[in-house]
Amino acid sequence: MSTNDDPRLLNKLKVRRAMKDMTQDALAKQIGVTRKSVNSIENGHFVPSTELALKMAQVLECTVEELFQLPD
Amino acid sequence: MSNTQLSPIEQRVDANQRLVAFSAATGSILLAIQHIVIEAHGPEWLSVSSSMASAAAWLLFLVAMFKNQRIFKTEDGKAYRAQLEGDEILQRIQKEAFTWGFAVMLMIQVVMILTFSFFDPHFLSIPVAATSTMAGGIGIAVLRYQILWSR
Repeated sequence: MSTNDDPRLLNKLKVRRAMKDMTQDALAKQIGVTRKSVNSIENGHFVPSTELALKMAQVLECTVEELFQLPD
Repeated sequence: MSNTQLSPIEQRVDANQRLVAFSAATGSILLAIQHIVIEAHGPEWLSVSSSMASAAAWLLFLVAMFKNQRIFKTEDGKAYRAQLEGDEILQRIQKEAFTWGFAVMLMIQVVMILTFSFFDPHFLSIPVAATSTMAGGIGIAVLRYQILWSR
């Protein structure tokens, strides 16, 4: 199942986005998805594909590991 | 616009999408009710009213589809459509909604065959089976899609 309500993956998307002073909409436009998708990834409802995670990291100028971590 | 607030185009598309989805689900459920009432020799007023309500729901579906076309012809609409087309999360949601709908259709078929062929084989007519299967599948697919997309 692709959906994910209990986070298998923790993310610091919100923090990284705030550091770049970027809205969800602005990030969504740069990575080619909708704002809703960014919101659902940020809230841990969905786990992005490797390609999307790499795009996010590229736009937010950090590594994928800095954006997403496995829970302890 | 705040960070998580819906943009006007998102609001318009979402509202219209809900109208498309729920009118299709309502239309198909009412159509199934109409055929069940006919097959069960129920009151005529019930079959006529469910038939008319179903027709109204399908008319609403057509209007919403037409409105959808108009929304996506605007500049904002075109840009949003491009975002939607490349959205992997939306594609996952669509696949999952389709899978749920299809699974429910199969389940209804099995339940109908097992139940009605045992109790009342005459009740298992093609119009009842087809419309009930369609209604169940569309209803669940629509519901699943809306739940996932509105999170």
